[in-house]
Parts: sequence; C-alpha cells; structure tokens
Amino acid sequence: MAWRSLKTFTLVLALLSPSAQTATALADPPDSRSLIAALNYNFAKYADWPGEEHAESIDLCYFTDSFKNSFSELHDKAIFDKPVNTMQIRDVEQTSRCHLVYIDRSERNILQRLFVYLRDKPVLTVSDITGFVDDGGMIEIVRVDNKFRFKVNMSRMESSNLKMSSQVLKLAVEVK
Amino acid sequence: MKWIKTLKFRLIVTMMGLVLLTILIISVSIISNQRHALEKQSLQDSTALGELLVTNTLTAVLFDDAISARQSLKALRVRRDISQVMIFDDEARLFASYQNSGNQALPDSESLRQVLDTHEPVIIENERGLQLMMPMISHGDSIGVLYLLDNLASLKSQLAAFYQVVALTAVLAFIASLMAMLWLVSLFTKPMNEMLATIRDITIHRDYRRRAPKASTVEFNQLADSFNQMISEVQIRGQQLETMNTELEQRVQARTEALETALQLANEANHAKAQFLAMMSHEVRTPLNGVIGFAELLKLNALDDEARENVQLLNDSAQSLLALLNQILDFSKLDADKVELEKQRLNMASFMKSVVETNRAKAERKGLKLQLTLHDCYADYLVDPLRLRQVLNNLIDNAIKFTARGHVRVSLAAGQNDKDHWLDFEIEDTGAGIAESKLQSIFSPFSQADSSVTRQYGGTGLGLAICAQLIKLMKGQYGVKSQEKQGSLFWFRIPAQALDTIQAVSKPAKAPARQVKATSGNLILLAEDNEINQSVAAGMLENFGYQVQIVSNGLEAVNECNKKHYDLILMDYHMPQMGGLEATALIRDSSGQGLNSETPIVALTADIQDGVEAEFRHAGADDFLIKPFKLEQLSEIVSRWLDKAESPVKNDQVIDEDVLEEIRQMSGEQAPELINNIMELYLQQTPELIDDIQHGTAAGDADRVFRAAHALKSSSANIGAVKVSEIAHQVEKLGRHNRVDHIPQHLDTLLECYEQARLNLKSRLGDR
Repeated sequence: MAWRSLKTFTLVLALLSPSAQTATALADPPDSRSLIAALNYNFAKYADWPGEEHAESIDLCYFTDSFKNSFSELHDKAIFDKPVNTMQIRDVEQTSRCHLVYIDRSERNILQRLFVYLRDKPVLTVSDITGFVDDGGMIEIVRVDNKFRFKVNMSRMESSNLKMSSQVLKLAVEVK
Repeated sequence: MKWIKTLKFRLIVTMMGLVLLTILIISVSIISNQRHALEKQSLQDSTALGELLVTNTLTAVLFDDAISARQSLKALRVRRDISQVMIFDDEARLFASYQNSGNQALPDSESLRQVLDTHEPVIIENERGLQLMMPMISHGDSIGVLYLLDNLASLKSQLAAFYQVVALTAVLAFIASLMAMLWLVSLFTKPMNEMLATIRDITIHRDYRRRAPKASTVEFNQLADSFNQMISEVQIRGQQLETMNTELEQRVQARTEALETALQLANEANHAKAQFLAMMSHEVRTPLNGVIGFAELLKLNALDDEARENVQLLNDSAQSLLALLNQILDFSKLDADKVELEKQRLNMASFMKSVVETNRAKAERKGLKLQLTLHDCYADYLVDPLRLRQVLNNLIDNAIKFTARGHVRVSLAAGQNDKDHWLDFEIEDTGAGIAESKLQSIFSPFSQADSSVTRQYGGTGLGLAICAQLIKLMKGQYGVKSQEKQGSLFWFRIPAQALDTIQAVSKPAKAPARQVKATSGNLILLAEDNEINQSVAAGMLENFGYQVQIVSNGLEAVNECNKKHYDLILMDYHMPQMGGLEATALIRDSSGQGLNSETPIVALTADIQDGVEAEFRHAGADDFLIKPFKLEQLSEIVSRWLDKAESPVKNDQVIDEDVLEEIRQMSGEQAPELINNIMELYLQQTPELIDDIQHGTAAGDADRVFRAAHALKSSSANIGAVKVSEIAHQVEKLGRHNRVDHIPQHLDTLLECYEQARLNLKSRLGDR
C-alpha cells in the first residue's frame, strides 16, 4: 500500500504550502519514509544484477532506525518470484551482501567510504542526499513540485555491471 | 386486376420471390459473419492496444508520473476510433487521460473496482462503443486500471462499406434473375399469346384461313402445328357446309319458282274456269230463256191434250236444265267464295209459309202431305231471304223427291241462351233414308247416297253441297239423322236474333196467279235488246192485258220516257249503246220534273252477279227480276207495282188458309167456335157493305163508298177473304180520292169474288 501512502503524502504536501516544505526538509515524516521505501522497491523491480537469477532473495538494505518500519512493510513483496528481504545495516562493510542500499540524509558522512568500498561492486546505491549522483551515487531521489523524482548515474551503474530498465530511465529527471 | 391472374405475372412473382428469399438469406449470413469477424477483430485490436498502453504506462503509474503517462497516451491521437483512454490508480481515481473525440465521461467505479479486485479485464459494449477496462499489474499488484473507449468507427465504416457491396451485389443478382425470368416466361407466354391472338382473330372474323405462327420452342411448335391442322379441318368442313347451303338455297329457290309457276297456272286455270262458267251462264241462259218463255206462251193457247202435255214436258225439261245450270253456277261461286250475304229484315213466319206454299203443289202431285210447324218465331229477323229460301227449297225439294208416300214436315223454332240467338230449321220426311255409311259424305259435292239414286231420281248431287256451303256462309251448323227406309231428318241452325216483339201477321198471301186476264190497259215500257226475250216478255204482258211499248236499248228507253208517261218500266241490265243502270239513273234524275221520274222501274237481268241488284237499286230501280222468269213471277212483280185496283186479281185462293190457321193458333181450344162466329158475322155484314158501296157509287157519295170499302177491306182481310179485301182496298182508294166514276168497273169483280168467298165459307161452316 505504498501507493496510497505516496499519494496521500503528495496531497498533504500540496495542502500545506511553504511551511510544509521547510518541515520536510528538516525531517522526513513517517509517510514520506514509506514512500521512499516503496521507491526503493520499485527501483529493485526494474534493476538487473549480474547473477540475480541465482540469488535466493533480493536484499534491500538501509542504515537508520527511522526507516525500519517503512522498509518492513515490504517484507511480503516479491520480485520475479524471489522474496524481498529488508535489512538494517550499521557498517559500510555490510553493504556488499545487499542488492540495493538506501543511504538517508543522516548518513551523509559515510558517503566517501561507501563509494570506495562499493567501487565496481554490483550494489545499487539510492539516496535523497542532494548531489548524490554527482558524488558517485547511482540513483538520487529528488523532490519536484512536491513529487518524488529521481536522477540516474548511468555510467556508475554500468561500471558496476548493473542495468536499469529503459522504462524507468525515461522517467528519470536526469540520466548521467 | 385481371393481370394478377395472368400466368406471366404469377410465374414471375413466384420465381422472383424465391430469388429474393435466397438473396436475403445469403446476404444476412454473409453480413452477420462479417460483422462477427470484424467485431472480434476490433476487440482483439482494442485489447492489444490496451495491453500495449498498459505496458508503456505501467512504470509511469508506478512512479506516479502522470505527465509521462499522458505522454504515452498521446500516441493515440492517430487512432481516431479510440475516443478516449484513461488511467485510474489503485484507488480508482483518475490518474491520466487522453481524449480524441466526444465528451469525457467517467466509467462507473463499480466496474473499476471489480477490475482492481479481480485482476481480470472487463469489456462492455454499448451505444457509446466498446469499453475496455484492463488491470495494470506489476509483480502481482494491481496498481491501476486502463480504460479504453473504442467508438467502433472503423468497424462501422467497414461494415457500411460491406453492406454497400452486399446490397449492390443483391440488386445486381435480382436484376439478372428478373431478366432471366422474363426471358424464361416469354418462352411460354410469347407463343401462347400469338396462339391466342390467332384464335381470337379466327373467332371474331370467322377467317379460317388464318394460321398460328411458328414458335421458337419445339413443344409450342407442335402445339401450333396441331392447331393449324385442326383449323384446316374446320375450314374444309365450313366450305363444305357453305357449298351445301348454297346448293340447298338454289334448290329451294328453283322449287319455289316451280311452285309459283304452278300456282299461277292453277290460278289462271281457275280464272278461266270461272270465266267459262260465267259465259256459259249468260250464253246458255238466253236461249233457255227463250225456250221457257215460248213454252209458257204455248200453254196459253188452246191446245189439244197431247200437245199440252208435250208443251208441259218441254217446259219441265227446260226448267230442270235451268235449275241444273243455276246449281252449278251457285256451286262454282260458293267454291270461289264469291257469294256475299244480303241481309234483310224478314218476318220468318210469313217467309216460311211462302216457302212451303211454293213447294206444296209439288208435294201434292206425289200425294204427300206437306206440313209446316212454327214455334216462337213470329218476330222479324235479319236474314238473307234469297239464300235462306234457296237452302230451304233445296232441302224440301229433296225430301219430296226421295219420299214415295207419307209426309214431309218442315219446322222452325227460335232458340236462345245467354249469349246467342238462333233459328232451328228441320225438314223431316218418311222417304228412302240414307245408309249410315253414306251419311258422312252426303254434304260433299257430287255425291248422292248411291249412283243408283242418280239414275232413279236425277239431279246433279250439288244440292246438299250448296246448302252446306250456304249455311256455313251464314255461320250456321247443319246435320242429318237418317236410317235407311225409315226417312231422314235434315236440320240446320243459323244465328239470328229477333228484331221486334211478336206480331200476328195477316198479310194476304201472294199465291201465284195463273192465266188471269186483265183489261186495265196499263202502259208498260219494256227495254230489252234480245229479240226472243222481247217477244216472250211482251207476249206475257199482253196476255195479262197490258199495253207494251218495246225499246231495244237504254237510250231509246230514255227518249221514250221523255215523250210520254208509263205506268211501269221493265229495264234490262245489259243493252247496247246504253245499259239499264245508266238509263234508270237518267230517268230518275230529272229533278222530279220528268214524265216518268216517279214511274216504278223493275230491273231485269240474267246476270246473277252479286252487287248488280244493289247497283240497280242505287240507280233508282224499285224492284228486281232475274231472267229467265216464269209467267207467275212476272205477273206478281208487275201487279205489285201497278195500281192494284187496276191490276187483275191474281189470287185464285178464295180464302187464305194461313189467316184462318193463325186465328186457330192464336185462339187455342176455342178456335173452331171463334172462327165459326167470325165467319157468320162476316157473311152477315158483307152484303150490307157491298150494298153501301153500290148505292154510294150510284149517288156519287165518295165518303160513303170510302167508309164502306174500308170496313169491307178490314173484315175480309181478317177472315182471309183475300180477293175481296184487295178489291175493297182499290175501291177505298178511289173513294178517298173522290174518283167514284172509276168504281163501277170494280163492282162486278167485287160481287163475283164475294160470291166465291161466301160459298167457300158456307161450305166450311157446313163442314163443322
């Protein structure tokens, strides 16, 4: 029911004018977190990992506790008959077993380490930190007109042997 | 509506109906098939399109990118048949839409939810078109619904085009079938109509030379050939019939002509016969007239007995010859329907008496009693006396002829019923009678009961035939009852009605006078061209004591009449220079100034043609005498017209039996006594009356003479003293006209006659 949450959120944002914008900038409300979790799930759907067909599950990883609830909503989902597995990780070293890693704004400090560690590793990196794709991330979630949009760093993904469906790419605000 | 019943119409209608049905069935099946295929195609197209759209817009919905979704939907602008397409999210809210035409209308949310729940597409087809709702499924989740409305424009246009093609094809097929049918039907109707026209022509114009034309099909050709053969047969028959008819007509015409010729010949022959008979009558009558006349004259001379008997025989023979001639003539005239009745008012009683009296002498000569019985017939009747007398005379004559002894009884009775009045005549005799086998033919001409009868009794055998014809002419009936040797009864009945009430007639009977000489010296003019007739008539008249002046033609008669007065003129019919008719008319037509314009004229003629008498009477003649006449006939007619006082008393009958008979009949049982009384009274009174006349004459007392003579005339007439009465009548007239000086010449006669009457009456009184 991530759809519903996303929409509701959009609606709420639309109703709460500039003050709401500042509020969301400061801290993501729970609904917003659910929407982000859902977005991650959708990216996982259209992404291709090398040897994906041999994997037992698709593992979606996050750092912060505040996202725990949002990601746990995805427990019963599946992608191509493979169950979706969500995991909270504490350390950069843990990211190598993940298919996808979401890095929220509070984890800005680990970005450089993460990029180095995951260099050329087939792990899709997603974040809503501004300038994420310019810094070496793969998908950056942005807000456009109170809606979540995203930017894609195609070259980073290719170098990591990751593919993204053209269906998704044409929706991207920016593809590098 | 006659065309509805034509074969042509029915054939075409039936066949075209079938064709139409076939076309309809095929068209419908093709169209429905095609429509079904097109609809299926359309649905497949729409579904494919929908699926494509779902695939293309799935990520957009997933990432909530409505703009991108709209971009994808915009690709439909080339598909004009897709009216609109909408995308709804998993809450059935409108997410994105694109519209090609028409008004935007949201589908009902029920259906949308159903699609979201069941993950199955929903297809709705209604007036708006084909509505397709497809679920948008991403990894098992329904993330939205794609709604697509196909207005089926392309389907409709394709169907319309197809309809047009089918319709065009159907019409073409129909027209082609119709043409084929018309041709087929004409195969039947054309030769049939030609045949019909031929038959109609033949029927109307009776032109059996017409033939049915050749037809294009074998069957009709055979029909036409058979028909033509039949008509040829009819034509031949007709010609034969016509020929026969013509022949028959010619034969009939020939036969008719032959018959006409034969008829003409027969008519001419008949005419010649009639002419011959007329000539005969005239030519034979004239010499016969002479024979009879001279025989009569001879009888007046003093002859010895033998000579007298010879003369009598001569006279009788001539009379028979004349009677025979008359009968033949009568019969030929009756046969030719040339007889016309001339009816007169007639007292039947006196008529019958006179008829019987004329036959009495004949009967008495044979010693037969001739009786007359009258019943209720004293009135006057309108009958033809001449013809009736002829019939009666003939029957009475026959009765006397065929009766040897006994009596002949004549009776007359009048009868009537509601409608008709008639007279019944009967003549009964005690004579030879007639065998039953002959009764049938007895009224046929030239038939007598037996040829032996002719030998025994003589006669022409025409008598009864003439009677029968005359009775038929009078519209009467006749018959006979007879038994051989028992006598016969001839009867006839003629229609006649009584004109007056019964009158007792007491006219003096005009019995024929014989050899009575008169000395009055009346002057008579006789106009007659035939010298024999002149001699006969003059001899007779001079014998009666008249002076006779003879002229031999009408002109002389007229001249003579202008010279002096005659007491009587006898005028013949046929005379040279001027005929009797003309002369009579001239004598009469002198405006009453002529000497003889009042003189009685008696016409004489041997010509018995009808109408002659009427012509004479019209010219002014007073009476008529047919030649040859007997002495008595001449005497009677002359004395009738000359002053009776100056004429000889011709009646030799002293006392008229008829008068006494009438008194008897009227008086019934007391008759004898009454008659005696009357006779006695008469004998008592008459001498006084005669005395009165004598004294009156001597004294010149005309009045006294008149009254006495008048009384004497009446009383004498009443008792039947005819002669006395007649002389008294003359005297009475002289007395009335104051001509007493003429009376003495009558007195002697009067006395003489009275003496006879007195003796007669005395004897009668003595008898009783």
